[in-house]
Amino acid sequence: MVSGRSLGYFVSLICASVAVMAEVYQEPGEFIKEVYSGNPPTTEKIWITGELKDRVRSILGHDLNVLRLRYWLKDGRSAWILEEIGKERPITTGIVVNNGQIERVKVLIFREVRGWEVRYPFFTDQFDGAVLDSEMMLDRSIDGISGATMSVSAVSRLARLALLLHQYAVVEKG
Amino acid sequence: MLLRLIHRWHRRFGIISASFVLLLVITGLILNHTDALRLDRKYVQNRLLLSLYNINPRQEPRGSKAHDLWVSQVGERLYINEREIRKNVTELIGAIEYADELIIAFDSELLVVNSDGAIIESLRGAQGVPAGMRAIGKTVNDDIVVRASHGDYIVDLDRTDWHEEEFIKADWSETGALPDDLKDGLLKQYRGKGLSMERVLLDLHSGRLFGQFGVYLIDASAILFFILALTGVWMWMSRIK
Repeated sequence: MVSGRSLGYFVSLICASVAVMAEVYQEPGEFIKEVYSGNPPTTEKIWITGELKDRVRSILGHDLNVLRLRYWLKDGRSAWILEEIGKERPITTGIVVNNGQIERVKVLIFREVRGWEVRYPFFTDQFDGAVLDSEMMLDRSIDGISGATMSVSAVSRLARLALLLHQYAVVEKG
Repeated sequence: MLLRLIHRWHRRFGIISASFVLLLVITGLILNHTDALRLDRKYVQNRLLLSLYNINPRQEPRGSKAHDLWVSQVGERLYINEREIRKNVTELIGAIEYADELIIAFDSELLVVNSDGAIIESLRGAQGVPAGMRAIGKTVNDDIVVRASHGDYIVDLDRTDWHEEEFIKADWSETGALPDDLKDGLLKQYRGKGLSMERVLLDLHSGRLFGQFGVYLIDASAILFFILALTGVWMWMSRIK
């Protein structure tokens, strides 16, 4: 019979190891400060409703778990802190979009067991200058990383999401 | 003589191991299609099995009352009254009602929830939420105020502006034990989603469902299969000769 105590220890061990595995490469707040040279604008809000909600779902394959997102917008440059699950845990990513093109992608917090290689510039630099086509796909193919397929896919989805949100945010702001 | 002895024991071992073969074949076939059958998302409701696995939250359920709603944490799950609204939350600090919305505070996150229980947004460090949040409350002027490890802040959520002040007087939200009815209902819900069918089938397949004894039993059956394979081949070869 599985003893309650031993199962409890096992669960605690798993939880502890998962907690330890969250790697913070840069605090999201620090990323935003860096993007706007220490002087970020006040946050803006975008509601994920109606047509935008449908489009978000078609990119992510599921609904966002919130109805509203905060972002930063100044001189046509928007910054987004977005999360998507690779295999089991969310990957927190900072993305800057400048006039409809990706300016920068940076993995800020990684909590998965595998796939942390997506944090390296050899991967994230591939997104620089990427735009969305009419099918809401990136205008280029992104090279994968062996053993990090799901993380690569999650970051790619977030890049597409940021470009889509930027389009709506800029339209909203006229 | 020897062949007859082997034949006799081969038959006996075959009968003994038949039940194990059936168990391993059935559980193995099902486990091979875990994703298609979504076994990791189907949960066992059987009381005996739930007790066997001791499925209970690590800490006593607790909550905070905001207006007429209970915001409760059971394990890593968050509920408004009896409705689960989020998984994987950290420690609940408190909850307040603000402009027809609920503001729920965790260690380093504020969750804004509407009256239907839908999560409007999650605010964290990037939006200025201080780490080490210890309390949330409202001032007499109806401003949101949080107490963090470095001081007290008056919060303008609309502009995400955090204004630090010393020792703000506020009506602080408190967390505590839940009413018995609510606690029982939430524990029943929590336990109902605590044990996946995949876990039980894996443990049945390996014998771990019955503890160390079950593992040894499956080991013994594996040895029986090994002997059956050897004696079967031996008898077949003896007949050819």
